[in-house]
Amino acid sequence: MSPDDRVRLRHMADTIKLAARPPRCLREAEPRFQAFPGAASSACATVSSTPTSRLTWTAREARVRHVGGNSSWISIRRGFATPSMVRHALVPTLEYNLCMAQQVSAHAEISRGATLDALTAAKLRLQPLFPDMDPGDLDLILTSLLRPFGSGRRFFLREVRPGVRVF
Amino acid sequence: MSASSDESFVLEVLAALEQTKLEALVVGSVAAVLQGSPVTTQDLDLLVRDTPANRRKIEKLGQCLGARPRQISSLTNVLRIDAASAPVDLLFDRLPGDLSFESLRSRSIAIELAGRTAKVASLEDVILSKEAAGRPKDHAQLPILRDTLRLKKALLEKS
Repeated sequence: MSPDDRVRLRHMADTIKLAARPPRCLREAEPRFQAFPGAASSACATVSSTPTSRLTWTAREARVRHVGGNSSWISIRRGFATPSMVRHALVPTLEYNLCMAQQVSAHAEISRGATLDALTAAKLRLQPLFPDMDPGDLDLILTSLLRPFGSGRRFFLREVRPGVRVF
Repeated sequence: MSASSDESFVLEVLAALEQTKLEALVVGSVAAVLQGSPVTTQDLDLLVRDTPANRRKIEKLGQCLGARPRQISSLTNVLRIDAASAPVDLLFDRLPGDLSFESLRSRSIAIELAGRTAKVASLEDVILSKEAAGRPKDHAQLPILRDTLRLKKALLEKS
């Protein structure tokens, strides 16, 4: 390796160290973008062993092709290469949000099912004990008693204009 | 599950109480709601002790909730914080029915809500205070509160 190649390699390693750090706007907007342990070091290690013949790569290409870890992060890391690619970096974030929404929805469905099962069982057990109670009231109260906090219940009335209150 | 804005607001008030270190009991209809009663209300009632330190904490609570506490009428010492989602009323020392803060606290229950703890007046005490208040809107709620209490006890016995 010639002295010139060594200088170019060192310059490339420095560039990659800088590029491996996400842009400030993303670090502030999304906590998950704040740290990628080992991203810079793995990229630098790769560049150090890069054959001289491949020095024509840009720093960005080198980093993307040699980034390690979970492949799902690759496209996000690629987005940090230049500010103009920030839009690209947001695509996985939308996928991530969609995935999270599906998980939350599945959890809600399980919880709703469990509540309905408990409600049916409670009605069967308690209805004979309260023959004086209106079945509709019993249903309403049991539903309210068994509904977990945080399931989307509304209970505050708001005055939209004098004398008119709505949920 | 996704919390409604009303549930989120209750959590916001609990967070503000923790932050200001104001010891307060949730009373009134919201206390009944938190214990499973299917009722609605216009405000969130909190019972606190009337001390100079608590008055200062109430000012801070107002800052946390984005409104300055104000006296709602010259006939009463109740303070109101007009928070974004619903008014928060602060009542001092006792509730109708000769229910003192200490007696209510001794019978209160701690309810865990999304990682926060609410000290809530028991459903029996909510019923007693509404019976003593005697306002038409309180009387309208009483049958459903009594039925809720009966069913709640039956559920606990059965389980």
